[in-house]
Amino acid sequence: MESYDDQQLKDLLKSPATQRKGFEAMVRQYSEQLYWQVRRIVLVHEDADDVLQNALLKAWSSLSTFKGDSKLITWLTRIAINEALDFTRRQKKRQTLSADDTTLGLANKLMADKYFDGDETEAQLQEAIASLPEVQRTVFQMRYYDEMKYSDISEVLGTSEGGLKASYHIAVKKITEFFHRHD
Amino acid sequence: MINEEDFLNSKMGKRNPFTVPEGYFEQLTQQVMDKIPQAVTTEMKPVRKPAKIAVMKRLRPWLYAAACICVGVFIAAIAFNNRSEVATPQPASQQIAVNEPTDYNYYSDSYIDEEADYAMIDNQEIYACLMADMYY
Repeated sequence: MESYDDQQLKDLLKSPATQRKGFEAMVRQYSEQLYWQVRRIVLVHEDADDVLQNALLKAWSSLSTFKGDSKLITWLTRIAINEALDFTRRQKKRQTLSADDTTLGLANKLMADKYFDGDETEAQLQEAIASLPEVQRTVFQMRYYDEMKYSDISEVLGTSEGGLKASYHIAVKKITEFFHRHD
Repeated sequence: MINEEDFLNSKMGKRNPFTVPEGYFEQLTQQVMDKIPQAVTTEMKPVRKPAKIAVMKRLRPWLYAAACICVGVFIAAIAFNNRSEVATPQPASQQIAVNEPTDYNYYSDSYIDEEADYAMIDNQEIYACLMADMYY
């Protein structure tokens, strides 16, 4: 399959005659990366699949609003992360258990999930990450797992780099404390 | 800070404990594209649409003018009808002053009597109403 750079994709997306082809190429190139960013937030494969597809359809219908001043992957990541966070907020509202009960159940839920390959410590780690406030959690995952630059994270989340660094420091500290507690 | 990050690296690394169904990414793009409506290509209706648009563009001012004339005729008809109703001679007992319809001095006694009979109110009720008006 042919692969395009950012500018080539933008050129394809600009013209109505090639827009669909360009969008298909963009999805093919970036969907896996987006999937894992979404999955780390929503945790369950079926939810990640729904959220990602909704995000990509939103991107399609928002093409006319994309000004081209940022990289396509940054724009797509912003849409996908927002969809994932909206999903988790709606999920929290629906849950009838208290917050503490929910996080205690999360590790067990992951251990029972056929698309989770980790051991109990990894499940508990995911529970610890999930218990972080939204911004800390998202920054931690994008910085630690995706190794994104603070400038790119800032573009995605619309937060200052200084604020992101502070959030990351706090997230790392809390997760370190989690390991100390479990050692 | 760097020590804490190194500590995390040593404890959890970057291992991804999540998995996906086999072939998921291979079919994901097609699943997404199937949900996007197909665009209408220019080959489908090349000739008719421009001709239709050109005809409508030319006719539009005439259609607007015709609509305005119809509305004007309709309003004129209603106004004419209302005037002729007012101009039709009425029996003296039902004559109402045109200039000051709200000025009760212009209503004749016979008209008032007829209206009172129609409303089935007698003189005592009329007096009661008038007395009530004096105090409020």
